[in-house]
Amino acid sequence: MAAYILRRLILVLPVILVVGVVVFALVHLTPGEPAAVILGDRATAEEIARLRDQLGLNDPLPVQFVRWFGGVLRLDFGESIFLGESVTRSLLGRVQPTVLLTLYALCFQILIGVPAGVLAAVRHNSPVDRVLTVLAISGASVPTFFLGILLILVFAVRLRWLPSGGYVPFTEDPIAHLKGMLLPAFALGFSAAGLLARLVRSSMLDVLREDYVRTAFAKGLPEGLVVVRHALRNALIPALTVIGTSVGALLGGAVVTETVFTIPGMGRLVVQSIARRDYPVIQGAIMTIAVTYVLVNLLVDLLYVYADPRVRLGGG
Amino acid sequence: MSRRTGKAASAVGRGVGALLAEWEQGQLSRRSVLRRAAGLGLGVPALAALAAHAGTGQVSAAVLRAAQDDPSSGTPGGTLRVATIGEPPHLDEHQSTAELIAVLGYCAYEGLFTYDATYQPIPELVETHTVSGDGLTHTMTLRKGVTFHNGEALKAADAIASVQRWGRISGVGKRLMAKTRELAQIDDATLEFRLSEPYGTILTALAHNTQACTIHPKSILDAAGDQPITDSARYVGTGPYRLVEWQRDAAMRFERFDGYRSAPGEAPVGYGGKKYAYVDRIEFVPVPDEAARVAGLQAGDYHLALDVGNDQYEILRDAPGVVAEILTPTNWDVFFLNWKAPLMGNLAMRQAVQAALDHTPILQSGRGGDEFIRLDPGLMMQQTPWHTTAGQEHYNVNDPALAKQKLQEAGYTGTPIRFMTTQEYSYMYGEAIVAKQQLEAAGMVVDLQVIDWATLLERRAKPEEWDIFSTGHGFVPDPSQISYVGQMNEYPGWWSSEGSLALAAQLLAAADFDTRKGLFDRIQTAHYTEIPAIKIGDSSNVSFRSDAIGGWDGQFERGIKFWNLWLNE
Amino acid sequence: MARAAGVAVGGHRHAATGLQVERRGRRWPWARTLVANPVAVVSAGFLLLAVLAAAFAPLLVTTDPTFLDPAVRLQGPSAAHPLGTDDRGRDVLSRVVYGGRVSLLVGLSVTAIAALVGSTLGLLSGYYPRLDTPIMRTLDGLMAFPSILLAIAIMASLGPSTGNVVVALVVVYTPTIARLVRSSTLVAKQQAYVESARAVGMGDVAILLRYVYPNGLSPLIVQCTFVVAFAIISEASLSFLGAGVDPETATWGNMLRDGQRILQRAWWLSIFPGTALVLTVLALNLLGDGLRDALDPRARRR
Repeated sequence: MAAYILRRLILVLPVILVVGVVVFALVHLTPGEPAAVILGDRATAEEIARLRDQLGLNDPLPVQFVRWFGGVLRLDFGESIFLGESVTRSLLGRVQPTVLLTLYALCFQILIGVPAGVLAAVRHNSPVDRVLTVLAISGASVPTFFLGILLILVFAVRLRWLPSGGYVPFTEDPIAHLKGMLLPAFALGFSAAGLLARLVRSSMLDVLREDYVRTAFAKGLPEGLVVVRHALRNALIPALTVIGTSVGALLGGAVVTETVFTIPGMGRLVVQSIARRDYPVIQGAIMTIAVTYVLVNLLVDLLYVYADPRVRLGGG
Repeated sequence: MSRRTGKAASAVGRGVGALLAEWEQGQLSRRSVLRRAAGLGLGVPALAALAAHAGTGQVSAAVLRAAQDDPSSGTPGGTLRVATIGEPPHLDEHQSTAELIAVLGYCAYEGLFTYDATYQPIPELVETHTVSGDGLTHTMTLRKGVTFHNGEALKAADAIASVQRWGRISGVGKRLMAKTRELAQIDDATLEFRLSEPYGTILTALAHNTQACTIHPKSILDAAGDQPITDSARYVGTGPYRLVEWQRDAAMRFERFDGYRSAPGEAPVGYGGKKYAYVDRIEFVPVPDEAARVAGLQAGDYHLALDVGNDQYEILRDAPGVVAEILTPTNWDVFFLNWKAPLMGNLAMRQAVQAALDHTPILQSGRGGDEFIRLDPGLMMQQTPWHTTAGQEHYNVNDPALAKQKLQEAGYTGTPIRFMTTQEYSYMYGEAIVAKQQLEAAGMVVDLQVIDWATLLERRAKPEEWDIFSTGHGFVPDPSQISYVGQMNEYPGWWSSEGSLALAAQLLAAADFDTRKGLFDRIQTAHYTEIPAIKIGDSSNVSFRSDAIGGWDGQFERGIKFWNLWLNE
Repeated sequence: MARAAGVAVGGHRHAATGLQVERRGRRWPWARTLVANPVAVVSAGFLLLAVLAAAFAPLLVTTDPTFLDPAVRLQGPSAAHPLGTDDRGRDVLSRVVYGGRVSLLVGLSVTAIAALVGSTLGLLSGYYPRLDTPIMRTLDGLMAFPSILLAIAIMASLGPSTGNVVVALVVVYTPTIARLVRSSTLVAKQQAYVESARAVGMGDVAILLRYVYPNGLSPLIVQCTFVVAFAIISEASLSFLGAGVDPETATWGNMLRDGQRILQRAWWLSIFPGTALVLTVLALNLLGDGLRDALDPRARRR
């Protein structure tokens, strides 16, 4: 098991390196001179030269990359061109809404996805199963931003139950915070729930066919007990991996959701920074989100080892 | 009566007109300037009289509201929350004409002079001002007891450092400094402008409040140099509110400045006079999404929403707790034609353009529903005594057949017409795309160039780069202030017929209202036959705000005087 | 976002079964299964209609989607404008139809290119062990980004245009396909007939194309159906964020972005393009689901 963990840890390094190269390349993919692109049409030659200097664009690319990546490892993403502060500082100010939105969405995903998947598996091939399957696929077919717009239209514009957007920190007003996060978290979690439900369903079906579950049924234990105590636990192990990948989908979806609901998180910062041509911020935010995603997947993999005795035994 | 008001207006005219000319030279928010000038037509006793004189019988809602909300009767306290369109790029008044920076600046900064309600310069930080007989020496003594937000006392050295920095950076400042031989410090409280030749608009230049000559502590300017001020710790003025926190993309928080020393007197005077500073705090929250600003206003999250389009009127009109007030038309939208380029240098081509356009849909596309637009040929607004319909047979012609005939006369062979517009001001874009469709329907080929406003300003100064551009013109109280009348032959488009140039020169020279009115009528007629530009029509904006706001006088739409507002909550 | 999930649900484990179908020589057993699935048939029918509508848009709607008629701006659905008009007085129905053109074009071209590039990389990676590590580590790096975020990042550099959207989404979806093809290649490589083909001196390219690749086709086809769906959602999301197709072009994402500003006043600006988007993606997903059931006996058992 230790060997497995070590191998898994080592595998993360090249991935992070590739992520770094891709993010670094962003600035250099711009058509034309990056400094000129950042400054826009009206920039003078001196201003462009000054920014080139500031961004270190005069050095050879490998030198630039090593310097930039070295900074990233020290959590130093450079200075924001628009905001006039360090990128790290800008990001820190926006981490909370994004992290909480992702977590709340994950809660919705699990709260909707797992019961729906279990129900569909237990009522396998019944109308309930079919309806749930179509619902799950529909969930995955509605873009989060459109679902967000629909929710705003119904719950904020028509019914006026919930705010249409904005963000209140939890510490400031917990009730307002939760009310504000309800719609965005639901919009984000709902489509992800469909995928989770489908996976829970199929792994549940596998488990329900296993001998020990059949034995439990044969012993005359109540269905609910068997499902929850014996089957669900094992069926959730593969679901764990999906939750890992879901975090990536949710973090990505948060970018869009934050824009729909005007939540001042990292995603919105990325979108705003595109218009501001603030590449250091775009790079910093994307690097942070991607590395977070890599680490979450690593964590999930390790949890998986812990949770699944077969992997544990095989690896150890 | 008519003679007197005419004179008064023309006095304002000479000051503001020349200044307007300067903004026109490539600076961002001319529109906001003109908007503020638009206030002249509204709510100002002097010009209310003017309006009455003009026989339109219009007394704007704003005037009535101003009468109800006596500025000295406010209740102190509370936090005023304002939803803005986004973050300012920096905080430096000297560096930018951006509207948002000016709006924020009203809270924190003051100048040596400011505007009264009729856009006359009045002293603000200056106590006494004397001019030598030859007009070359302006001596200004500062008010005593004024302190900056950082506790430093205001001294002549601060004022000089501020004027000099502004004079190095801003266009208006550069022009003033070109005529300034020396800016001398007489003592701790006195400075002196020594000019090389008389400069009639010196006070107006110092009073102006977009890219304003705000007064900063010398210590801060020394540290900042000519780089834009971005650090909130360097945002230090003498105004009634001080910036306490700038949380990027979240809020800018101002608090009442306890050490504030208002100008003498008990009444507010335009942008100057007494400043009450009723609310304890003002928060500017960047909400780049227009729908979110609207929703926030409805929900009571904000008291004021800036930059909200007319399309939201229908929703906010009926929203409880929200005031949606359609302002009397003050702006007019206009397309300029480039006389110096081969295409529009040809009168028949200009006539073809004039004939091809149907103004109503153009205005609807730019400004929204019919309640926000008004078809009117007058280059001077209906609420002024100058209004005339001279030349109206050439206004809103909408005759594609005539256009085609004129195109033939002009020998037009399908050369693309370069039409510049910008999306930064959505009305300009909305009007340009409809005009393009109409011109094309009449047989012209249009190359619509959508560029940012700053680039447009730069390019329109170059005769070889364009044929048409769309823009707006704000309210002016005197015809000499119409950009392309006052600066005929200089304003992009370069209207330069001999007859009109002579008329314009006489208009500037003459003093008698009736004479000038006659001259202006002839200028407007020439405008419609020589066609330097196409006036599309008049338009209104809407003020969207919470009904909890007291002290609103509606005089300046964007130039909100935060210090006289209070909250009835 | 559904990139990874598509693999999880429709992924590599089908490679072997695709092989079985092929070897038994029963050519179209899956077609019968598919036709027996009413949901899949309806979905396929809808998609056919959508493609036809997009292809023959000028015949279907006579109003030019760019024609401005401010006099009728912001009108709700009526006989003249069945889906209403937008804030410039343009016909929403015609914009929805023309918007479908862009969506389908982007979805299909992204999938075609990603399938081509991904298949090549997957075959190379699976067949030549020396190439495996560099290719797969690079693709792992790309898959470490949440997919929409990677697309946004690329668009931030390239600038908004339809072509750039295709480029960005190809980068996003290629790794999924490469992984899938690689795993079926790994399985096929072990088969006796590949060994014998090699023994008789057949060239690698011929072996790959004739024996290896076809065995992975079934799951690839299923996966491609999902990629079309995801690409359409992603294009709409990018356009909605202002980082997609040129903002003036009629696309569903652009219409939704423009509509959001006046959502309270004109719901039809958001609801109609949104519905078109959801129905198209739903049909693709249901069809993909049906295809998987049909092509994968193991899944069918369930």
